[in-house]
Amino acid sequence: MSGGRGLVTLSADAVVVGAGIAGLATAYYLARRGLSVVVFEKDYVGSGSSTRNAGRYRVHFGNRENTEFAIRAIRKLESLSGELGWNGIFERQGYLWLIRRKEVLRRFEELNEKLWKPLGVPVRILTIDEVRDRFPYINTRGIIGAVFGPQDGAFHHDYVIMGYYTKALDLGVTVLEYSEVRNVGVESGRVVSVSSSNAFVRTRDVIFAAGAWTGELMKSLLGIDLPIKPVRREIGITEPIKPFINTYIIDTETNFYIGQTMRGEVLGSVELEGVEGFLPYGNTLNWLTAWARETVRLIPSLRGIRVMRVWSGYYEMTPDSSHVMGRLDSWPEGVYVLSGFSGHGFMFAPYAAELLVKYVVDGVVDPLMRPFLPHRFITGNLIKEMLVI
Amino acid sequence: MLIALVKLIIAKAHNHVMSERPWIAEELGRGNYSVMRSSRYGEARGFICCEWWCEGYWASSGYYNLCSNNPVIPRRVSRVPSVFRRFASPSSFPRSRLLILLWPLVKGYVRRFLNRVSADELPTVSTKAEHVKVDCDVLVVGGGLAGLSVSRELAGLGFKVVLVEGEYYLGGHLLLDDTEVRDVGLGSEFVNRLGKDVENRVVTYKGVIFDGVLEDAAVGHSRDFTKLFIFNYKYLILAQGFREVPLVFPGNNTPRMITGLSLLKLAKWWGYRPRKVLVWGSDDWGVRVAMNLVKLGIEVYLGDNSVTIRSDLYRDRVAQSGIKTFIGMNIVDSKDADDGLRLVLENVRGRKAKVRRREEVVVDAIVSAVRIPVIDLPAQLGAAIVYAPELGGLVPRRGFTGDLGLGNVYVIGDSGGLLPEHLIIRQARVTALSIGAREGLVGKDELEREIAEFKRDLVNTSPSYYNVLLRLEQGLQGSGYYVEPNVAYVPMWASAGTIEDVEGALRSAGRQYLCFCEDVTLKDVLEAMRVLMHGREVRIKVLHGEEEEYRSLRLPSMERVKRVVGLGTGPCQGKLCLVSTNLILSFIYQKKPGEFGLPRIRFPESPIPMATLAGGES
Repeated sequence: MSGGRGLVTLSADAVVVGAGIAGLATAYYLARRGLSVVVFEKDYVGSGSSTRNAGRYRVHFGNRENTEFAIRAIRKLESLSGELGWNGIFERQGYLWLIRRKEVLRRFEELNEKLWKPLGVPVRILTIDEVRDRFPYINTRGIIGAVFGPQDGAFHHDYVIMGYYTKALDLGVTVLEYSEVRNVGVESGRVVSVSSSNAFVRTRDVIFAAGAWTGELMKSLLGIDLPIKPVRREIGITEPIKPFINTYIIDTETNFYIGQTMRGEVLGSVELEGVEGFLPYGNTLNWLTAWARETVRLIPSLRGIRVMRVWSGYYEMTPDSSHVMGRLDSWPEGVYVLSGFSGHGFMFAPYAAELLVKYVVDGVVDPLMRPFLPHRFITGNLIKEMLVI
Repeated sequence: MLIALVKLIIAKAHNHVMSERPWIAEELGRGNYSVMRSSRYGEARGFICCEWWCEGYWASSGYYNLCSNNPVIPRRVSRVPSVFRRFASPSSFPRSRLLILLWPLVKGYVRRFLNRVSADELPTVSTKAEHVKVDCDVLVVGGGLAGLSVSRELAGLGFKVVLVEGEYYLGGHLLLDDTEVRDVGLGSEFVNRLGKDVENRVVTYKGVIFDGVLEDAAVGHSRDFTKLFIFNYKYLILAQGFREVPLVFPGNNTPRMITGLSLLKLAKWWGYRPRKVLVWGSDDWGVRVAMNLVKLGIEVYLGDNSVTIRSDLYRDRVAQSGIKTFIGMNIVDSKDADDGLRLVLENVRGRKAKVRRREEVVVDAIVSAVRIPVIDLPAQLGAAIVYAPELGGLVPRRGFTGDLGLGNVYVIGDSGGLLPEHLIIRQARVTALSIGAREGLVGKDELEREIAEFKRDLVNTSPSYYNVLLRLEQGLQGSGYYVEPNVAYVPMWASAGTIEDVEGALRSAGRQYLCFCEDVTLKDVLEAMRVLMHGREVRIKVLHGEEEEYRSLRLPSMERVKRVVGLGTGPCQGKLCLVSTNLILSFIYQKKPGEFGLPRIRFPESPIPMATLAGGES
């Protein structure tokens, strides 16, 4: 809910900066532990990357830390409809990675044997005939095989956001829209207040969950350096048609992806070289034509489908493409971060928020959370990718 | 008979569009008004429009080229049984506990159920799509009165002008208008002449849509999808005119509702002749639509919930032409019956209304002549959109010259705010001279003189035009602090007038459709508002002592409403519903339209096939 126009003075046990999936989930789980919470959002709820993404989730990552985290996170995600009372439209359609080179296939096979199988999330390596059989609409020219992850799927980001939003309000959380944080008050090394253009909140804890804006915000407000950089990506959606693309397809060579939403729209992109920094939310013809060319090449029956709208959003990239959660001792007491999800924030955030709340309230660092502490950027002990996918 | 034949031959020679007899005209002629089924409920959709921008609306349920000889009609249509409707409605679907529980079992069914076209039914797209580069000094978007007028002026100044028009003909609405237009003469004749003149002097692309501006290119496409245009211009002039939108009243989902321009095309070009119609909307255009239909021998009623006929210029002509009027009335109920569309109208019930009037009429169709400025492109390009009731509702904020404050983009004609035709012609001259002055081709004096004359004409026609343009210009170029008026009147909401009427209208909100693409009713939107306000009831009548609280209460934006109920997410991109919904909500809650805002209007203006974007290699 939006507040009034005057200056509001509140006091709360905790303040969350950002009302995207990470911020709202954090606020909700904090409130569930009995804390009073105020959420600051500089635009409208979900206006950042939470409502600009492709709406897909996966458990398959190129390293143990992320895969283990993802398995738990996806279990959490898929249970959200019941928890939130909003239908997240979850559907395990699977991910299909199309392979064009032998060494890529070998890397996937190795990952499957060494990582995914032992963790209980095996993928299926498909021959070219199996691809043709199961996905007859794909033009298999140049493709030597594919990897199918049946545990992966799709969701509807708007409904999940609304679920957390309404649940948080049910528990008395105050969400202030159009309220950009201007100052974090620190006294004798501890947070005492957070204020924005139209609100002042006395508090002891502040959690930064501001997505792509987190790095910049923590730097300007507290002088804290966190390597979270925005990278703009473009994406588009077509008019709706009857369902026929029954999975989420990724071309491992071109970074092209495509899938069909519940309503029948075909959604996808081809990821060109991303540019770092807060570029305006625009699109380019260069990208649009490249996307269309790849679409028509890979799924010729989509020649006639019409592009309905295009938009862009920011990935919040860290040096090891993994999120960061928790705090450092050198930061003022009461400052926490939950950000840097590097393109897989929506699927990780609900579970990550739950773990972070456990940390904030009980001081307990869950073993799954340990690899993602901000400490790693100082020690240089980054999470190593076996394969970027 | 012979005359008719000669006329037909002339028409054929004149324009191939006019010679077609589209499928839809056949169906209407046969009395089949339920030509479409909606995507979600699968119920009959009676709203018909035959303009290029209507394609998105048809496409939402899998229809294509509806107003041509070869439409695409989906093979199979599903329909939600009435017992399930409450689960399927946009507001309750995501929150139904039962559906959440059963979701793993029903999701496949729900997915296949929506009425869409299959990939193999999509209209074919030429294998060779060309990417065409077009260079010019000035690109003019829209070939109606405004676009043609400004093109002629600019060509006269020596500019290289390119004009694009979405229709396959020039002249816009005026081409269908055979009435005497104030200070212009016979509308169709005037604009036809103007069109021919411009075509001789300016590069003109018909059947081409300007889709908007990307970071690295300004893009358009041809409606046959064989060409993607990349425009290179120094100045851009937006002259997309106005658009008639569906009316909102109880039971407006199924009955035969046709936009004024579409009906004029159907009647004048394609031979569909209803016997009796109700034209709703009594501004200049509405009255002229009615008079055109009378000329064709059609029995016409004219309705509006305004106090009087809104058109100052043509009010007197209504009585002379024998049109029966329902002014100051609401449509309180409507039903499709064997003999036509049965409408119940009641007078707007102010407390002071002395005479209660209730009428029942049966018509072949209801004609929506309620028009709004087309603001898609100004909004997409980032112009501020503000409320100016004198100019037809939501308009881009701009100066007297049409400058949008974006550097090189101008808006003229009705898309910058509805104005009488003779003022649009004047305004086109101002805009052209202003660009000429910037290029050093025109002296400042000449421009100043022209602006002064334009202002004088504005005041002489109606002081309110001058006042509002002055306010817009000062808001744009002065402090930037611009306060919108409250919404006191929503012309497309045919069931409201006073606070009492609003309360009455809300009782049937579940039968008033706002978004025909996604089957969103007013009730769905109000429910979304309630959820977003966390159950807090926002009252229509505010008691003493509550004003302060209500004044400072900030309601959720249209962007968030859109994300809850899907309003405006169909392939027409909200062309039919966004402005209406904004005005209706602003009216109900007495908030400024700017507070609700509009969802981001995104590229492209009209959907472009993948193959056209990809180019011709494959």
